[in-house]
Amino acid sequence: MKRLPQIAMLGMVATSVVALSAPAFASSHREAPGITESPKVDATDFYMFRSYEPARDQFITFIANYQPLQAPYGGPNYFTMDPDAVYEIHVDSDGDAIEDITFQFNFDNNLANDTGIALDVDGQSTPIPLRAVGPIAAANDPNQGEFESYSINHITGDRRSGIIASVSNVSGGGTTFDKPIDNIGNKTIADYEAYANGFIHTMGIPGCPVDGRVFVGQREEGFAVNLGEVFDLVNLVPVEGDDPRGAGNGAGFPGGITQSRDNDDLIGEFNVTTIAIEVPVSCVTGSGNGVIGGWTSASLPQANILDPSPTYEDPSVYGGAFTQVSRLSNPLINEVVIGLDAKDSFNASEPLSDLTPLSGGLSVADFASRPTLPEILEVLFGGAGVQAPNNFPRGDLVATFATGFAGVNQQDTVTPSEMVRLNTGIDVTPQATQSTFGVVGDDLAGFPNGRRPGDDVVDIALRVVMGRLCHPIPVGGVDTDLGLCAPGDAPSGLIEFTDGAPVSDADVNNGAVQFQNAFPYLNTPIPGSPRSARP
Amino acid sequence: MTMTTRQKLLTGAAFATVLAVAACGGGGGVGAAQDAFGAPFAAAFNADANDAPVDPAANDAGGVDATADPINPA
Repeated sequence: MKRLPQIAMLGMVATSVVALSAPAFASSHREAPGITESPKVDATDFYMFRSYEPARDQFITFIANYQPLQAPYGGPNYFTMDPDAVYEIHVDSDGDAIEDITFQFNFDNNLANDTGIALDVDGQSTPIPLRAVGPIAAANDPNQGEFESYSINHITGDRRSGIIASVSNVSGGGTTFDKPIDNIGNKTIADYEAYANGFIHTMGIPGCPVDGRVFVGQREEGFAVNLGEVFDLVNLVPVEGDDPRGAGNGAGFPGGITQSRDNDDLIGEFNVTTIAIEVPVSCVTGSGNGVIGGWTSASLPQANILDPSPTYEDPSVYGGAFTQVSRLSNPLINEVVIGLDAKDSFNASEPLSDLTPLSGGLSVADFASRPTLPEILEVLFGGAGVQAPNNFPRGDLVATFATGFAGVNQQDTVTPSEMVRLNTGIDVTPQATQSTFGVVGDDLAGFPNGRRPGDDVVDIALRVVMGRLCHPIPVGGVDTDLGLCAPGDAPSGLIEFTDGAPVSDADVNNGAVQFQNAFPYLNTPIPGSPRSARP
Repeated sequence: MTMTTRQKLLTGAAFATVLAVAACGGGGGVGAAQDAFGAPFAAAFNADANDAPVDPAANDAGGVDATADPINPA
């Protein structure tokens, strides 16, 4: 075993692991009391990784998912985005915890002919109650009665006072992009995959010599989690029951849960709305050392007057300053790290303020350095020998999720702040050889060095919060002491905690194979019909 | 405006101020709504989208009669 040395940023051989003081729960689905009132602006997951689609490794893919728990059959309105909101993806390229670049999405929903589809009924032109009157095969189909579109602002500097320029639609011209209608069902859209692929647009990014790509539309949920059981006081034995994982032999922890899609409440059950962009690496790294931080937020105008005579265009009248109501970077932070009394405050906060108290008096750093989840697990399973780590403050968690790890994914300027950080100089791992455990699984291109769809952040976070980083981890195949804490600080740090919900049930050790091997990576959404096609 | 100041205001104004109440009496339009809900609300409503949010603590709209007919802001 060796002690982790300081390593060169590129061509490194050492690894780092993220420390999230968050366990395995839905990444950020309905995670705060206030946001449950505004599902259209509820961010659920944020991914950031070097594109592993063949020949695209010079790009970064950012994925921000919104509107959790979309039932595929959720008609007649399905899940449009909020035209009064702004949805943003922020990039910090120099480590000061302030956005240097923001991609800001503004949505617009319109009815065909101002009424939607209308039929002549006994001489009266009567608008129908549905979004379509016949099969839909492409954008602007005459059978479609409601159309969704969006524009993208590229903002350099502060998100509200910076330099704003429009992203251009290289494929279709202009600065407006079409969004596909949700997957109503197979009778309405016979080949949804082909239909949705027509909405992957090439975009011209101001100041960037190479075009990027953008897709906004419904996708199948990609976050795997044993949601019901975990929230029911962890109503399962959260330790791997097979040896090795996925062996199906029950030779692991006696009575421990084993990997199965049957343990997952999201993949294959619900859809989500995805904002996905692919941007050249050189256009987001700025003058930094190649490590970038990223997060997503959504904001609404501060003042709203409900209209007692609402129209399609104006059910309410909004005005005033954009006020942030959702914030998401690392998974699970607001879900299970931030206290109930401060979740709404977190959603309104920005990374620069993470050392400043939220409502209730504790800061993000306070919650992370003295997390409650390990104590909860000790309360629930202490009789079976589970012990929470005792290295307070939890430098292993704060140092890694708030600063990145020196020599791996730490920026030149270190401003402690909760943010996913990606070292754009680390080579991608092809889909076929990714480890669902990311860096902990000796896969340096995975979580917490950015986050890919196939990374099992639930199991990773469970183990890390229970002190896995206090024990040596494999780095290039060699057990390596990260120097963050000692094994004695985390008596349960080597336990293979799991919620039993693998990202991929075809390969429980490689979640990437669950998804597409091309932008936008997340899968075609579950159709609302026929019944046999949905869970 | 500095980030610190904006952050403070953001903390104080976590959500859009939703006022589903009505002023007593009739009248319509956003102006009537603002008259009913008070000057602080009017300031918030009329702020530029890129301004920092205001602190709603000073808003006196809570004094409006919740049982009166809603104002039509159209």
